Amino acid sequence: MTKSKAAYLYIAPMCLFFLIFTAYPVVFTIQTSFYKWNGMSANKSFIGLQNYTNVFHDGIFYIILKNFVIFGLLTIFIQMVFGLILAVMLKSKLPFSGFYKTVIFMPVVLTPTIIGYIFSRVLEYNLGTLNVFLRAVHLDFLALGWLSDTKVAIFTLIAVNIWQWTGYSMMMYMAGLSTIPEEMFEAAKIDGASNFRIFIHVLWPMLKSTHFTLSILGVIGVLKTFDIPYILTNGGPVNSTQFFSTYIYQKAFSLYDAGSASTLAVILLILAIICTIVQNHLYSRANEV
Amino acid sequence: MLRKGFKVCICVMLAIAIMASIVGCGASAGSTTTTSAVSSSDTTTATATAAPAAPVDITWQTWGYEHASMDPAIADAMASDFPNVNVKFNLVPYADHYTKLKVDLASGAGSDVFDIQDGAPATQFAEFCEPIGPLAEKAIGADWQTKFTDYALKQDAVNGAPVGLPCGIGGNGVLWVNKTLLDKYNVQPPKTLDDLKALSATFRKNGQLPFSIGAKDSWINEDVFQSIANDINSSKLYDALDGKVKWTDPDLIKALDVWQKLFTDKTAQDGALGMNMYNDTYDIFLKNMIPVIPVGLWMINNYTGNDTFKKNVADGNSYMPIRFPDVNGDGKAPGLLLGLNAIVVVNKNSTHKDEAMLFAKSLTMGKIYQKMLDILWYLPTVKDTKPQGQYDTELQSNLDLITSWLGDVAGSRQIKYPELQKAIDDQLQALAAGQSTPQKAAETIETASAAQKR
Repeated sequence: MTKSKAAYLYIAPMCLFFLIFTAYPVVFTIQTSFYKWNGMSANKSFIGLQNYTNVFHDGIFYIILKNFVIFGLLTIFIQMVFGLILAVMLKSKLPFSGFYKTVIFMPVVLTPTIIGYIFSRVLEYNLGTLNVFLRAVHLDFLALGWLSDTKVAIFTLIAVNIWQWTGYSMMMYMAGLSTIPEEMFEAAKIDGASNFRIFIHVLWPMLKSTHFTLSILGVIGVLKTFDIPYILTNGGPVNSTQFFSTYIYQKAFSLYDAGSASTLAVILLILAIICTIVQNHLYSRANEV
Repeated sequence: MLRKGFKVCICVMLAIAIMASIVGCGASAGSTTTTSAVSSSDTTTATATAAPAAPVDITWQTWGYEHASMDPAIADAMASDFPNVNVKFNLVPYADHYTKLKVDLASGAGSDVFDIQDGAPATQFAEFCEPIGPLAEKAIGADWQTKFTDYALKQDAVNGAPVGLPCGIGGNGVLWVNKTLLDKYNVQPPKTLDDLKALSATFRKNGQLPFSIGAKDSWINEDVFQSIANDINSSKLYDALDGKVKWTDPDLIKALDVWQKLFTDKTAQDGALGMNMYNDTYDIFLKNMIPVIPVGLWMINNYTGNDTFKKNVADGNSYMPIRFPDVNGDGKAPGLLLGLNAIVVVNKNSTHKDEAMLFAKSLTMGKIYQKMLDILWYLPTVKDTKPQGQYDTELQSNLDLITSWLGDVAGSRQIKYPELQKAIDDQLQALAAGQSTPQKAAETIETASAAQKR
C-alpha cells in the first residue's frame, strides 16, 4: 500500500466520527429549521423561512443578543484581568501560594448543579445568606433581588460565572508567565521602569497568545452558556436572563417546537463562525504588527 | 511490508473500537430500575389475556414514584400470578422525563409503558401511544370505560378518544396553611383575598414571611391565576383558552389585575420571582417559617411520604388545606382545578403490548393503584374506590375535607396549547415584576392566542 493510501486509513476513524457526530447533526439542524415539527412525530411540514421570520419578530431573540454581548464582554474581560492579577501575585512566591491556587481553582471543577444549589441559597432575597448578612450590618439598601429583579439577575449570573472561571484564567496566565524569561523583567527594572509600566509594556504584550486563547474560549463559553442560567434563573425572571441555549432548550422540550429551536441553533452557529473569523483576523493583524 | 500491514491493522481496529463505543454510548439512562412481577389478581374481572409461556420483560418509565420503588408493600402488590412477566421501571426526574421520552420515541424506542400528563403532553405524545380501546377491552372488558370516573375519562381524551388509562386525580385551587403558625399570631385561615392580604400584613409586621409563592415556576403561577380567573368568570377563562373569547375581555383583564396586585400589594413575599416552589419555597414552609403556600391537593401525600413533614406533625405542628380565597366577593370559593396524576399509555412500538396492558391495568385500577391511593399519592379515578390506609386524626380530617371538595370542579388544570401557555407564563411573570399592565398583558396573550393552532 502506498504512503498516501495508508494516511487515509489513519484519518478514517476521526473522519467517520466527525461525519456522524458533527457534520450530520449540523446538516439535520439546518434542514429542520425549514420545517414545522414537534421533534418526535413522523409528520413534518415544510414552511420555508417562516421560522426565521418568527425568530426575528420575537422580542426574546433581541434579549438573547443583548445578554450575549453584555455577558460576553463583562465575563471575558473581568476574568482575564482578575486571572492575570492573581497569576502575577501567586507567581511572586507568596506564603501558602499553593493553597491559594487550589482554592481559587476549585470552582472550575465544581459541577454546575452544586454551584447552582449553593448560589440559589446564598442569593435568595428573603433568607439568603448574602441579604441576611447585608441586613445584619445595616446595609439593607444593598439587599437586592439578585435572582428576582429583572435588572439585576443578568449581572448576578455574570458574577457567578466570573467566580466559577477566574481560576481557569489564572492557571492559563500562570502557564503563560512561566514562558517569559526573567531577564526581560530584570532588564526593564534596570532601565528604571516601575512595576506598573512593566505590567503594561512588558507583561501584557508578552502574553498575547494567552489573551487570544482565553478570549476564544471565553466566546465559545458564552455562546454555550446554559447550566448556570438554567439552574439559577431558568431564563427568567421574565426572560431577562435568556441565552441561546436556554431558549433553544425551552423551544425544543417545553414548547415542542423543534423547527424554531433549530432555527435558533443555526443563528447561533452563524454567530459563532462570525466571532471566530473576527477574532482570527484581529489576532493575525496583531501578530503582523 | 510487515510494518505497513501492522499499521493498517491498527487503523482497522481503531475504527472498530470507535464504532463500538458509539453503539455502547447509546444505552438509555434512568435514575433507578427495579424489577417486579405484575399482578393479575386485581380488583377487576378476569381478563382474556393469558400468561406468557416464556419470560417477558417490560419496561415502565415514569417520574416521582419513589414510593413504588422503596415501599415493600408496593413491591408486594406487584408480585405476580403471571410469573413470567417482569417489570423494570425507570424513575426519571420530572424535569427530564419528557426530554427522554421525546428522544426515545423519536428513535422508535422507549419503554413499553410510560406515563404522560393530560393537556399538552397528551396531545403531543398521542401518536406514539397504542390505541388503548382494543387493549383495554381485552384486558379489562368491553365495559372498561364505565370503571373510571367521568372526569378522569374526559381528561384522558385527545380528540375525543382516550389516549391511555387515567391514573389518579390531582390538582390545585387550594392553599395549605400552617395552622400552628397562624394560631401563634392569632390569625384565622383566610376566606377572601382581603383576608389573605391582612394575614400577610400581620406576618410581615412580625418580621415573618407572608403568603409565599415560588413564582419562578410557571406552573404555580398558572395555578394561582386560573383560580383567580375561575372565581371571576370561569367559563370565560376556559373559552379564552380555547380561543372562543378574547383575552382582552374585561373579566380576564380583572383577573390579571388581581394577580398583579398579589405582588404590588405585598400579599406575596418579596423576591417571589427568584424562588421556585420545589424546593425553595416548600423547604422554608417545612421549616415552619411560611404560614400559607398555594400548593395543591398532592400535598396530602406528605403525611405518609415526607419525613420532615411527618416529624413536624409529630412535634405538634398542624397543617390543613383551605379553599382558594373568594375573589369576587360572592362568599364562594373558586372551583378546583383538577388534572390527572398521569395517563398510563402503552407504547405503540412495544413488542409486548398485552403484557404491558396487564401492568397498566394494575397500575390504574388494580393492586398498585390501591396501594398508591392508600399512601395518598393521588385521589381516586376508579369509581367506588377510596384510600384505605390507617390515618391519624389530622390526616383523616384533611382527607375528608379534600374529598368533600372534589365535586366542585372549575375545570382542567392543564393548558393544552404550548405557545399560548408560554405567553401566559411570560405575562404573569411580567405582571409580577411590574413590567406590564393588565391591559398590555391581555393584549399580548390575545396575540398569541389568535396565532395558536388549535
